[in-house]
Amino acid sequence: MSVLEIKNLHVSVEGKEILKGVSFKIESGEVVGLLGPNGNGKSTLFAAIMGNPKYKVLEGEVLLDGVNLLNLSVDERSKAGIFLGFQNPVEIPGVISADFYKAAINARSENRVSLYKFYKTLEDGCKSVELPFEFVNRGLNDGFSGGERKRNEILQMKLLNPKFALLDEIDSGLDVDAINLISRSIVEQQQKGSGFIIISHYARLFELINVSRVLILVNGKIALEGDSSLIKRIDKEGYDWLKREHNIVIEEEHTMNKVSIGTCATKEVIKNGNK
Amino acid sequence: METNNIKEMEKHIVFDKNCDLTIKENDEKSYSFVVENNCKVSVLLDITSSLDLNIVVKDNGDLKIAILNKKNKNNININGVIEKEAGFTCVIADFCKEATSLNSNVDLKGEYSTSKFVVSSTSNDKFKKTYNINFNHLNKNTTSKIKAFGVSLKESEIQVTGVSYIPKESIKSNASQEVKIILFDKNSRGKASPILKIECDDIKASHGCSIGSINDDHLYYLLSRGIDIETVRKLIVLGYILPIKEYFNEQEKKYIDEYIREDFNYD
Repeated sequence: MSVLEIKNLHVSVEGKEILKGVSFKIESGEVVGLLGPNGNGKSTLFAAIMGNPKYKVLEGEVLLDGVNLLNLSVDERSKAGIFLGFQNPVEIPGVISADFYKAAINARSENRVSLYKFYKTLEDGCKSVELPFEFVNRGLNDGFSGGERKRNEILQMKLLNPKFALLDEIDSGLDVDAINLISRSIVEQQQKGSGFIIISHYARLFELINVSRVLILVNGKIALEGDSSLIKRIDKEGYDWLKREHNIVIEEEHTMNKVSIGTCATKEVIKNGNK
Repeated sequence: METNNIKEMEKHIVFDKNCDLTIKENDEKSYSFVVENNCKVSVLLDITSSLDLNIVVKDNGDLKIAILNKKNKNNININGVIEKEAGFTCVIADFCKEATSLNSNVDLKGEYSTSKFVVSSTSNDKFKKTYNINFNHLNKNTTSKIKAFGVSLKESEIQVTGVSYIPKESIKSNASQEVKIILFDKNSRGKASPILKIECDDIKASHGCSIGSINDDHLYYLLSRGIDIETVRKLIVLGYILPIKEYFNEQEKKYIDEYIREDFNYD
C-alpha cells in the first residue's frame, strides 16, 4: 500500500502566496474529491505536487511513501508514481503520439518494451477510451477536440499505471457518454490500487465513482473535510453556507493581467512624391 | 511516370513529359531545368557539392524539387521563372553539419502562377546557415509561400530572410511567410526577416515568425509523463524538423527519418 502525504504546504506563484499551509494524507485505492471556489488553490496544489517550475514551494513537504517529492525533478516524480491529468492538455504538433507514449512507457522500464507488446497495449488502451487507433500517428493532441484530449489523458493514466492520479477537472466540457466512460476508467484504475485526488465543480462525475472523502479548499487552506454528502450540498447550494455555518469568508479571485496589443505593420502613403 | 537514377547529368535538361528524377552526388554544379507546357516533374537532388539551379516552368507545368543537403558545406543558388498557371515547389531538408547558404529568386511571371519554398534546417557547433528567398509577383493572381523551420544547436545560427515583392499591377496576388526557429542551447541564435514590399492594395499578404527556446508548457507536459529532459528535447526537435517528410516520397521519407534519428541518437 502507498501513502501520499502533504504536510503544511505553502506555495506561491508570481510572488503571491496561494497555498497557505495545506496538510492531508491519501492512501492507495482512496478517491478524494477536492472542491472549492475558483482561484483558491486547487490546481496550484496539483502543480506543486507535480513540480511545475512556475510554482514556488515556500514551506512544507510532499511525501510519497516517505520520500519527499519536492527533492525530485518533474520526470522523477512521475516515475515515482504520480500522474497529473491536465485541465487543459497542451497540443504539441510534430511530436507523434506513438513516439510520446513509447518514450513514457520506456522511461519506467529497465528494458525497452518490444514493438509488438507496445502496439498491442496501445491498441487495447485506445479501445478502452474510445479513441481511434489512427490517432497514435498524429501529433500529440493535435487537432483533438476537448473531449478527445481528456480521453487521451485517461489513456496515458492507464498506460502509466500510477500510484496516485491527480485529475484536474477531467470532466469539464464532456458529454454524458464521455463522463460515463471516464468514470468507468477511474473505477477500474482504483481497483488496481491507484489512489485519486479529483478536482471537479460538478456532482455528476463524483456520483459515478466511489468517493471516500471530500476536501474543500478555500483561501489556500483545507477549510472543511467530510464525506460525499458535502458534494451534494455544494452542488445544490454553492459555497455561501461556508460563511454562515463556519465563518469562512472566500477571498476575491486575483485580477487578470493587463494586456497590451501592438502592431508590427506600418503603411506609408506616398502622393505626388511626398509622404 | 519514369524514374531514373543518374550520376552524371547533362547541364541542361528539358522535360517534355511527366517524369520523376533522382540525382545523387551531383558532379555538375550547375543545372538548368525547363519544364514544358502541361508537364509534371519531380526531381530529388541529394547534393554533395554546391549547386546553381536555373529553372523555367512553362504554362500549366509543375515542377517539384526536393533537395537533401546532409554532408558538406554547400551553397545553393536558385533562379526561376514561372509562367502562366504553372507551379514550382522547392523543398529543402538541410541537415548538414556545416555552414550553408541558399539564395533564391523566383519571378512569378504568368498569371495564376504559384511558388512555394519549404525549408527544414538544423545547424550545429558554430556554423551559420542563411536562407535568402525572394519572390517577385510580376502578374495578377500569383501566389507565393515560404515555410521555414529550424533548430539551432550549440553556438550556431540560422538566418532566414524572405522578400515578397508585389508591384502595383499584380492585383489579387497572395504572399505568405512563416518562420519558426528553436534555439536549443543558451548561445544558439536565430534571425528572421520577413519583408513584404507591397505596392498594390488589392492583395493578401501575411507573415508569422517565432524564434525562441523550447516552449516551457510543452517541456513540462512531456516531463510530467516521466520522460527525461534529453529525450523530451529530442522529441520536440524531431517534431519541428520531421514534418518536412510530407513533401518527400516514401523512400525519401525513410532516408530522412534514418538520418535524423541517427544524428539525434533516437529510436
